[in-house]
Amino acid sequence: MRKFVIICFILFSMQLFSHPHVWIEYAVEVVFSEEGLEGLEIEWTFDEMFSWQIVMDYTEDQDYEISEEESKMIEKEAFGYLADSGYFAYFYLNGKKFKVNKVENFRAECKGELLVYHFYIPCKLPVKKEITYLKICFFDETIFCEVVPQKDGLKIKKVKNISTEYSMQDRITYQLNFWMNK
Amino acid sequence: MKIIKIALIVFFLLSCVFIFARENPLTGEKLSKGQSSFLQKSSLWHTIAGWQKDMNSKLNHILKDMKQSFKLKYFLILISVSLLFGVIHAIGPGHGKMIVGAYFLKEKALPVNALKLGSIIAITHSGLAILLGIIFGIIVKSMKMHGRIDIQNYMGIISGAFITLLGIYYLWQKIKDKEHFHYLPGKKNEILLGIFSGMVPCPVSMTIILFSIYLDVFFFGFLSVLFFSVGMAFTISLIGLITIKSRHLISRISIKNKQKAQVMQKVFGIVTSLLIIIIGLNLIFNRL
Repeated sequence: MRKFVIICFILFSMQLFSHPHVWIEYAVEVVFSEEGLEGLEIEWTFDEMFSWQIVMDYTEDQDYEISEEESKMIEKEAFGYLADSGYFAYFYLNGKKFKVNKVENFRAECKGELLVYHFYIPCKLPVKKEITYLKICFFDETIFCEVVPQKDGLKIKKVKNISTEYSMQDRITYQLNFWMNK
Repeated sequence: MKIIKIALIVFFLLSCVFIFARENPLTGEKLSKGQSSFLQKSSLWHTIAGWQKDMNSKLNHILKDMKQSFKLKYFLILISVSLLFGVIHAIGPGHGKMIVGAYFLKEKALPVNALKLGSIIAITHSGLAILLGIIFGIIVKSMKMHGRIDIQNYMGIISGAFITLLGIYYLWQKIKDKEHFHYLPGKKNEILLGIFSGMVPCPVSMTIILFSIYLDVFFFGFLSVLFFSVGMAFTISLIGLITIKSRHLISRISIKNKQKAQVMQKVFGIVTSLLIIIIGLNLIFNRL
């Protein structure tokens, strides 16, 4: 029986392992103003192969220079579909999940031979004296894309009257705490 | 005890059906819902995905190096990385492994059958990717990524339809015959199932071919995909082999009671045939 369960477990486990075809590294900059949280600046850096495909498909000279017009086309055909899945974002505010419905200021550029998407997630929230907990995480539940944070991938645009602290919860999740100074 | 064992198998099989790989969510509208969030917490999952990223990147660089000049060192790196990438890549959901599992649970087979079926799936999977890569890289250059993904999805639908029909045929055979089951001859069975299961071209293979055509090093891209397929065939065959061994164990459990053993064999055959139908339908409806 034990032998049989082990075999089943091995088979079961094997089915669950990764199958990505696109790799993304994300970086986040949390933006505060005097009033509170304003939003998050996001940066996604893609792997070489996906970057090359996008450059081939959407740049006129097939070089690694992306014009504003080309960037708009990329947004429409290789980014906009993610609205349905909340742009891979899994954010929790004080333990409650909130879905990202819209993003702003999309821009695609190349850093060397790597494609980078920039976009802004508006998230206005007044800061209180009590601690607010924000969990930030991106992943693709279809397993097609592997999304992981960059090394030191969280930055904070601070203001004087707000204190912050953050830590990595697991390999893909940041926990950010912030509160109004007394 | 036996019920627990059967329940375990059915649970394992059904769980796997719903975690097939989907189309690229960046360039297509369809998305699966909440299947894999628990995977994201797994360190092992990210480690394996990280290895694949490194190998994908290595292939990109080595093909560029080979464009500059041919060196034996580059060649050896190319084929060994491709082989290893194939082994690891095929571990992920998809690649017909569930079909292989269901098929070898359904009927008695030898290890060599697992090798045959694994190889047919891998050859079809990568062979079609090479063919489409040549078409997209040379003949229909204007087709963008979402167009290429659409074609892969159509092939997924066709593959799903054939697998469903084959599953219905297996089921019909199981229900119709009381004692003797007349399937298609084993060899023909494996070839058909292998081709139908491998019909969705592998995006990795296709990208390698497109990239090598772009760099004008098609031959090395072709070799890379060839070794990638050998790696995939190894993993898929291994799944088949493990399934054959586990089926052998199950048969031994009920060997004492001949009548019970026959009933169990029949139930098993029906369940696994149904499973093949579900896999086929899943392939179709995930892409519609």
